[in-house]
Amino acid sequence: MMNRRDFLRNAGITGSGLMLAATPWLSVFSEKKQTVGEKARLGIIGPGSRGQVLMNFLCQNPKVEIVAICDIYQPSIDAALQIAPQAKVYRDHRKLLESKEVEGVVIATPLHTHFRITMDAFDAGKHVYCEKSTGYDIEQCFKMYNKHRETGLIFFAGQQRLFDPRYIKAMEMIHSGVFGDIEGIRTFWYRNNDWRRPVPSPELERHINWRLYREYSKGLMTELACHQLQIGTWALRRLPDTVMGHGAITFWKDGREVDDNVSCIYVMDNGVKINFDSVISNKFYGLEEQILGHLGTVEPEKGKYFFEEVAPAPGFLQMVTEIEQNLFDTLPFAGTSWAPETAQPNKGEYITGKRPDGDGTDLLTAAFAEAVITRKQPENIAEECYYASALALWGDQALQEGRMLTFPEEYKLNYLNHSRKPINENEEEKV
Amino acid sequence: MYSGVQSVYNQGLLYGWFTAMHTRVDILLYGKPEEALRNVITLISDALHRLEMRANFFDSTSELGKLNQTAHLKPITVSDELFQMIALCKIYHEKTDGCFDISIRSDHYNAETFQSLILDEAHSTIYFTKQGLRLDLSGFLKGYALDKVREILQTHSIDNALVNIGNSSVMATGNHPKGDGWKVTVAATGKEYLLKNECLTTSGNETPGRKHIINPQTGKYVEGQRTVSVVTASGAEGEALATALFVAG
Repeated sequence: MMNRRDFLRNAGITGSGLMLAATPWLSVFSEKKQTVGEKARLGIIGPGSRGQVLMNFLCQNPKVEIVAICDIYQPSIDAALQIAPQAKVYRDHRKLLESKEVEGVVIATPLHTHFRITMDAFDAGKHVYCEKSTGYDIEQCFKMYNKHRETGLIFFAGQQRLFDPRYIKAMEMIHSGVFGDIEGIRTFWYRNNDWRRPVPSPELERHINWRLYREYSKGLMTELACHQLQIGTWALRRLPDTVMGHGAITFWKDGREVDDNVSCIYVMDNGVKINFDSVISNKFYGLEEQILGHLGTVEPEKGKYFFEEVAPAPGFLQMVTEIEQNLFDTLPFAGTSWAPETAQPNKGEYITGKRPDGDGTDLLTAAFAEAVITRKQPENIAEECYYASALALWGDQALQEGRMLTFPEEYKLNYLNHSRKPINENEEEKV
Repeated sequence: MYSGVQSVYNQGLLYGWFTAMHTRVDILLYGKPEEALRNVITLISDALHRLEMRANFFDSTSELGKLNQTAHLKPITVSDELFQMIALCKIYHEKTDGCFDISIRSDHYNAETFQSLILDEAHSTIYFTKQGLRLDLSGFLKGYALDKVREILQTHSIDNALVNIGNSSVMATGNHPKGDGWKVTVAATGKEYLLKNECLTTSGNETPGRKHIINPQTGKYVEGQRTVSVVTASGAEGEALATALFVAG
């Protein structure tokens, strides 16, 4: 796994205008010197499987102290105490929020509880990292976002690709125009399993397998699509205006209530589309976000890019796209005659020059800790996270209603191509 | 092969790439408005493709291809450019004691074959005194092309540029945006060269199985993994020297 120092050096946080333009939230690391020796004291609400992944990263960070955990399920509490033995244990999140020791919370509970816990946490003056999707419907997401703006408290969601070096680098290249005009984004997430967790006794079924029941979750859209839709809007720097789609249970007819087979089309005002497909009874194609430019293609999950015609020299390309952070570097390309391998399949190049490792979760949690310490919300994080969840939930609504929807004016932010029109004369501009 | 120019512009730097002469050409420019830089890359691409039409050994319809088919019948009037290239190659043949030899692909080649080539400067004609003589400019063209590129850059007052034709022929003029000259490393040897208005030409077999250069002394391909790099003021001279040094061992 790439450590943070390597990441900062490779990403050139200190000087790259282009990279910071594509990924403005990286500015969160620019004040790192000032926070040496300081700690973010965090409480973990819902240390289940995802919560424990986050805890493991947080525990490796010397700037983090996990002072409290909260859960109603004893096996999760036991496992969490293995990771953070010093943490105080709570069974009611409101009690945890009363603790003066806790500066910020990490919420990794089932989706339907995110809203209430997040609003309570903001009311208690705590910074919030909430797993995705942030809300159960767009209205909840919107209220959570506004609460963050009103309180000025830090608000992150679990969109780890925002901090994955291969995505950051890919977006920098995409925004510099290397791959030409981005004309389509095809995202898909295929698996071949029933998505169930083992249940020790039947009365716990709905609590443990909450992802399968609509009372708690909206299934593939809220758990998977929100990651990939954010990649699409990040690449396009544009938000969709209409969505259509279809969802059904076609294979796992086991009493679940959420679809196992969905397809959604998000349409931008210029006609460019982001597709999301998920089928969980075939895993052959895995998951990918295929970013289609008229000169080239990016497949960030594989960590690769491909050119339609002859590919550029990686050394030259790097020099131009990273000129601000590069000093007087050598270009290691010279040699005997190069000939294009026209008969060979187009194998592409790795975005970061090597096979990807890690997924950004380490840096996402580090960024949250940094923001808690500095009390500075990194630019655009809350907006990216809001739209990731809102688009997934809006798509779900289109699947449920079986019709094409336009993005509701009342839930737009002043962000990218969306602008917030006052609903009535009395409404204040909030954003 | 696709030959259109692709490019990326950032912070005043323009990188353009395209295919010509069976390889990729990379050009990095800065110091002028974006449109002016783009225009120069298009002009370079056009010039290199014209050069290829003139001197591509593998294309029987190129000027060189036609010359190779007919010059044994009577003296053939050729363009000034082709005449100039062949005349230069004759000079380098003499200077390298025959180690650089563009007649190497002729039928029944031997060290005397080159003498069947007759240049008449006054009439711009070329004549082969023997049938089967064939001139191959492939090992020379990229370097000559670099010298053409330099002329285009000078005409358009582009002072700083890095130009790469197929990795084997590199020309650097002026300076890197963050330093004096340009630093280029030969991948196979790891050796770094600081180029100041110079060309870096590399000749050789990068992998053990590769062989593509014929030794005029033996008439056989040079075998073995070995590369030779030379730094010269002129690209054309670099090609002749690198090839000659490689075959001479």
